[in-house]
Amino acid sequence: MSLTELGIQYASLHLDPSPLPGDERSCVFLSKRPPTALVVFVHGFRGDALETWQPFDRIATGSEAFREVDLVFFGYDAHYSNVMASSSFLYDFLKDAVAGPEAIVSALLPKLRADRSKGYKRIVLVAHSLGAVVCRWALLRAVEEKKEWRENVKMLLFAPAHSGSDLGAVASAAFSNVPWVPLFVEAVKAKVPLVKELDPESRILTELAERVRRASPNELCLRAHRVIVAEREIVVSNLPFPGDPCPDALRDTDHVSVCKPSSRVHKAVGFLQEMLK
Amino acid sequence: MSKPDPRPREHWEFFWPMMQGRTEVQGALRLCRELDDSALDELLRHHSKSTVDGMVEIERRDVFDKALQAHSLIAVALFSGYFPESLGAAESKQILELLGREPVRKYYEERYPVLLPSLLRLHVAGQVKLPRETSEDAWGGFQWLVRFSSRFERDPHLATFNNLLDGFSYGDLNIQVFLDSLTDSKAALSGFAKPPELCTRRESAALGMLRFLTFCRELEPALRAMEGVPLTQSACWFFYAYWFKGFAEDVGGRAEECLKVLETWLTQSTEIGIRAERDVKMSVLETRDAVTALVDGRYAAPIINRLRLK
Repeated sequence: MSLTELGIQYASLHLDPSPLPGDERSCVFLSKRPPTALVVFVHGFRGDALETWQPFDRIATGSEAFREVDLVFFGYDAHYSNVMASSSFLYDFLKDAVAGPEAIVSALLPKLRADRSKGYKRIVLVAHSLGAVVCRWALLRAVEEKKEWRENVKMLLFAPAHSGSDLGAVASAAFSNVPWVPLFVEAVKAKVPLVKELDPESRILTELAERVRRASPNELCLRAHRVIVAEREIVVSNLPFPGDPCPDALRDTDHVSVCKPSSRVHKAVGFLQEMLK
Repeated sequence: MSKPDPRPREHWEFFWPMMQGRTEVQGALRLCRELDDSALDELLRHHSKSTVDGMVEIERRDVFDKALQAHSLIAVALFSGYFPESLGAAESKQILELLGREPVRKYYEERYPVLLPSLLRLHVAGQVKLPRETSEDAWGGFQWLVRFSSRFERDPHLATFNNLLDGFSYGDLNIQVFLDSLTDSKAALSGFAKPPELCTRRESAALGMLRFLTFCRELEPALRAMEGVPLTQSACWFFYAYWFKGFAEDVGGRAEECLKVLETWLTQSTEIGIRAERDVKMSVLETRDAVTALVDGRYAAPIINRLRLK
């Protein structure tokens, strides 16, 4: 395969990736220009800040459409944590990122901090599977605490797990970064809180739906701007969350590959570009 | 005369401060300042001299390993022309403070030999001028390495497996005991649903083995694609050469044993679908080819030949 096919090309618009200040699990690609928008990618169960989205990072950093966009790949303990704790960390990050550049840029790069002193005009949360639940809880808190910045936030969701999931399938699909995963499905036993919280009867899911229903219909941040689902989805239910638009399906994708843009499925990147306009 | 491209300087001016923020770089420098040569030499001994098993020692050596990796990355960037030829006086001084310290130098040149820190030290000291590529393809190759390495560097399972490959043992568990224990796939993969800190060493090594094979399967095609920028290609390979050069026979042989285990599991599995079976077989074949190419020395050649190294 060629350099281009493998995406090995010089990305001149962003800096090389670095951890978020004080958060080694998360990774940021800072725009070299003063950014107008922030995109935060939130992975799912047993995912990883960067791994889940491969190769979203290099497509985005090689594209003019993301020239003035900071890209954060948010990481959290997706093995043994729980939804409420994870959403709390995401909420804290968003609150801090809006308050000032310290949450995004190391003190070692003062010029880049200065470039971000005016804040972001738009924030897009891009979430996969469990990450969608984590995001919506974080935004629900922003609504309940009447944070002004919530009005600038939109959600793009891939295979969201709001309507529950098959517990065994979500656990085994989480290992699909290993190409030989089909061999091991029999070995997987889901005994961790995050997986239990994705049961269709989970209180975490029903309470979230109930609270969103009770919120004002004007709280647009609580509704996904766009929802993308996989053609061969066997892990989560594709039933839309109350208030969300009907989903767009991507051909030849499954629960894991739906959020990984490829030469065939670049559509997902296009949806994100649209939301940044 | 045309003006020099300002971008390598710009790349360096962003990279260096971020590197200063890395705890392992500061940690290694602090240890260099706190420990005398004798204490540092003892800390960085070869494990055949005496076992490395204290938590503090293991953590401190890990700090040095990661600091050396960070410096190796600078060497790759020099070969690719991503950083300027001259890195600056203060920066060079700090690099030499670490890489030039005798016990540290013995650690990466004699006990656990890796080439890139040596070349960086010689370059910064003005004793060797590293050849450079300057195309954007070469820069893209370096950026690819930064991202690729960041995906694998913090994987605790991969570290466990690599330590076994490197001759370490955890109690009774060494590489051969581990490989012999893989006959039952269900038992071997019982760590799948556990968070890393609750896995046993054996479970961690099994997951690390799969990660290592994935790593090889992704690394090799990327290197192959860099044939137009051979110095960058070779430098990227040398970034991981410890696994493929010093232990070529072991790693190649052990990787083959791992692949045979996967093939055995495949024949034992009764529930695997036709498509999945085909995908797994293809993955095994691709990984086998990748490992062969990674250990046969082809990717070492451009730098070895250019610098006339033995």
